[in-house]
Amino acid sequence: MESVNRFIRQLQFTFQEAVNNFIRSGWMAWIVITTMTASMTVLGAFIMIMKDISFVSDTVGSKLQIVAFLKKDSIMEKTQAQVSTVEGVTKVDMITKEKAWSELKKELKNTLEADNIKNQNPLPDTLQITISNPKEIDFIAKKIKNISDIESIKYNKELAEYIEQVGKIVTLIGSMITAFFAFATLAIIVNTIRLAVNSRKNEIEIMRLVGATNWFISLPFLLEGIFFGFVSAILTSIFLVVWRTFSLTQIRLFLPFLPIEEQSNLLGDVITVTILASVLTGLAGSSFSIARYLTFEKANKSDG
Amino acid sequence: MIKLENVKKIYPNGVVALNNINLDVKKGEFIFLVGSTGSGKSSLIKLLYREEVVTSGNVYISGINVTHIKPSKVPYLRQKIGVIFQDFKLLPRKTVWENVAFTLQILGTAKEEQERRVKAALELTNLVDCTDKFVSDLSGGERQRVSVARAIINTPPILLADEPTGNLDPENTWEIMKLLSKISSRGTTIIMSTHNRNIVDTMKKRVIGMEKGNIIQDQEEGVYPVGIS
Repeated sequence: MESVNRFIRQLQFTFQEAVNNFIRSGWMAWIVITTMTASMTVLGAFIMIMKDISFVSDTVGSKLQIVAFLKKDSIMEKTQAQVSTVEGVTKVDMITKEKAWSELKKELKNTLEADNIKNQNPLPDTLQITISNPKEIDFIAKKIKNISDIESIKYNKELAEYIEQVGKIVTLIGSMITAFFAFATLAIIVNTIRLAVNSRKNEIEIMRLVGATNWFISLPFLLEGIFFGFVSAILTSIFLVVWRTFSLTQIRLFLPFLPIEEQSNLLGDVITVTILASVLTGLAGSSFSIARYLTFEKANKSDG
Repeated sequence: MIKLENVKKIYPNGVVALNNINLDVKKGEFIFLVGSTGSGKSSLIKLLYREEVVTSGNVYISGINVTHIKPSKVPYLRQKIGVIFQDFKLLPRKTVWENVAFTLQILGTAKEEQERRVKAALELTNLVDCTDKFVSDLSGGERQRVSVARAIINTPPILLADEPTGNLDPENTWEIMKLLSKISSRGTTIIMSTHNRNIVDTMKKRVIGMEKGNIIQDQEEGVYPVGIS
């Protein structure tokens, strides 16, 4: 029981030690926090921009529709039900030939002499089909065309292909730049923490000389790394909220047709990821730095 | 209490620091290790708290062979030995109280016990007025007294002092020596390396003279050996 109490007291001390070190680190703590905040803010803002571009691309793509013209004498409701079962179809709107004819007549009032064709409505019954993924438009169109009551179909294949291409390029470039940013951010943060730990190598050495075990020395540094990450994450979140509010205002002002505001959960997601990434990076940075130092000391020992 | 058997220490650069050293130290003894720079005094002390590892031979502390203990066990050895360094080796971002209490915190000593022991150590070393000062605010003599307080806080049976007065003026030197005498009188075994002829000749303790890694003199109630600077 006494050994458990002793261990709890040691843990309490290491936690207290981490808090004291964090407070007493002074300018070094601020260098680490500023570096982490700046790096994470750039990364977070970039991820949001990439997500916005990808979202716009997907939203525009989802507006793509397939128009299916029905054969004469086919039963519209039956065909609609058949089309609805095709995988990837999200919505099927029926447009009767009468409705289409009256709308056409309204639209072409001044240019078409509708009376010439009087009661001979040349239009077929039509289905307007919305799909979930514009990338699959070719595949879905083929399936729909195979339905026996469908006479013909029409869709903008070029636009679908263009949107798919844009989507692919955005995803590829976005992933590469995000990976690069993430790596650079990790390298900057780990090196800054390493500098902070190295500036205290004499302290680590003294602790070892007076009998501190490796975990007793390491734990405050690891907790400190988590504190660094947490404080940076809070600051980063504030900057990202400010950035998001500003950028949305500007987009609404200058590009009002873009549906970016519909992504209500994006900011929350990016902030959650940023907090996790900051805390984990802080922990990893401290862990690498301190482990390297303690390993070096062991290596030195075996030289003798 | 301490025993060295045929101890040899050769550094990776080929320097022979200790050459076949045999030494027996009894419980409660006060020993001066004297010798010129490079004679092997500091290497011998470093072997005792496992800052260095022997090239060959054996080192026993309280009957335990510490020559080849695992690196993970070294902290537990050091927790049983107090060490005083010439350059004090105090934690710069801690107060006097925190520096002295650090060893007890490593051991997970209860708060009340920490308070009692640190207070006693600070009273013994006459540092009560400096409790909340940071190391940078202390004089050299005060720093070394903090170092002594930290070394004895856990009442270790062995106290190693590697030229503890090397950076101090005569007044502070004698302050430290008085402290060490007091600690010795309580039964602590002390091994102290020094260049200070005056101290050695005045205190009349066991004197081990070293030269080029060899023991050239071992005298009870000895004096500083002739011919050693």
